[in-house]
Amino acid sequence: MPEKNIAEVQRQAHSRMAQMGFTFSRDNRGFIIAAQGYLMLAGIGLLINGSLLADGASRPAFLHLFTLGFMLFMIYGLGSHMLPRFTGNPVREGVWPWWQMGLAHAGVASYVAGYLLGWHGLVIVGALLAWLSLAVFTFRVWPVLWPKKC
Amino acid sequence: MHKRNRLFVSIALIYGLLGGLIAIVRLLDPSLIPGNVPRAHGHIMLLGFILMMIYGIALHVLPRFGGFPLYSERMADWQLYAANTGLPLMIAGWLGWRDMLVMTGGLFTYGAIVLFGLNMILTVRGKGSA
Ligand code: HEM
Ligand code: HEM
Ligand code: HEM
Repeated sequence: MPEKNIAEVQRQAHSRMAQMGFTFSRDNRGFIIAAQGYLMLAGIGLLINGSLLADGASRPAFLHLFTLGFMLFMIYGLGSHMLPRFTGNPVREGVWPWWQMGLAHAGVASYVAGYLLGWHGLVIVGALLAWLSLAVFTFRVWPVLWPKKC
Repeated sequence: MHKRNRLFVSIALIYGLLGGLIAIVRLLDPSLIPGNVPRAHGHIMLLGFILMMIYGIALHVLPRFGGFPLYSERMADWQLYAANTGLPLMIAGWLGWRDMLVMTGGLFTYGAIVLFGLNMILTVRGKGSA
């Protein structure tokens, strides 16, 4: 097959998969991409300290770049992609995923900056925002797991 | 999706919210919750939130990706009971400075890990029951 046709077939297959909902939606794509960014930021701790986690004031910062930034964002992106497909129940969409994402970014950023700068108040703000984003995620997937009987 | 696996995911979310909450309370006032709160928080998050989430998703998806049914549904049920007996005991032990409780809970938690690991190995290697 000539190269152009292959590209065309690939494009069609991709568009079909997107229409059938195999591929990530825009919000979940954002979560997964952000997770990789945070993973690389967390890895900077390795370069600076010679170990991922040094004993010191910056320890919770790099630790939570990994746990909140990488692990939590991966769960957000994969969870809201997979759970509706496993159960056949819809996840809450609309503005909710974007609130969840905004809160999570603001939360990690404030929490980490708070520890690096030594501003305890900023740590608390970040902690609250990150927690709220988890609450939004829970609110979004709960009806996926436990749908109302119809 | 099997009810047990949905329970794993739901319990994971609840542990996540709980673990975040005790960390926030500690940041606000370290004297409000007694015991080794960072250690309890770390394990609620890693064993309660992340690991239970992985349990629920993996029990659903690995048999499908592997092409064989789950080796044992009973083992997976006992895994749910063991994991959720173990972690509360560990948390109680850390918050109450009772090392024996942490150890007992740790045995249950480890039991769940072994049940999961064996079940997954036997499933993915193609020794499924049908
Ligand atoms: C709601 C979001 C979260 C908040 C507010 C939070 C807050 C905290 C705080 C205040 C500490 C103690 C830091 C110190 O003084 O040393 C801590 C430690 C820790 N956190 Fe988090 N955290 C959050 C999410 C997570 C997540 C999602 C994970 C794992 C997946 C995690 C894993 C840990 C671990 C492993 C420790 C260290 C425990 C130890 O030192 O034994 N955290 N966190
Ligand atoms: C058999 C597997 C594992 C072993 C033997 C292991 C061992 C360890 C050890 C010894 C530490 C302490 C390092 C230090 O304090 O300098 C540590 C830290 C950590 N591990 Fe693992 N780990 C394992 C699996 C995992 C997994 C699967 C995760 C993620 C879900 C994870 C997440 C973490 C995190 C976030 C920390 C840093 C928390 C802190 O130091 O307070 N580990 N691990
Ligand atoms: C059978 C399950 C487990 C038991 C019984 C257990 C028990 C313990 C105990 C007793 C400590 C305190 C060690 C000390 O005082 O030096 C500890 C620390 C820790 N554990 Fe676990 N744990 C378990 C599973 C895990 C898992 C699965 C992870 C990671 C995914 C983890 C991560 C950690 C971390 C990061 C620390 C803090 C290490 C440090 O501060 O250097 N634990 N655990």
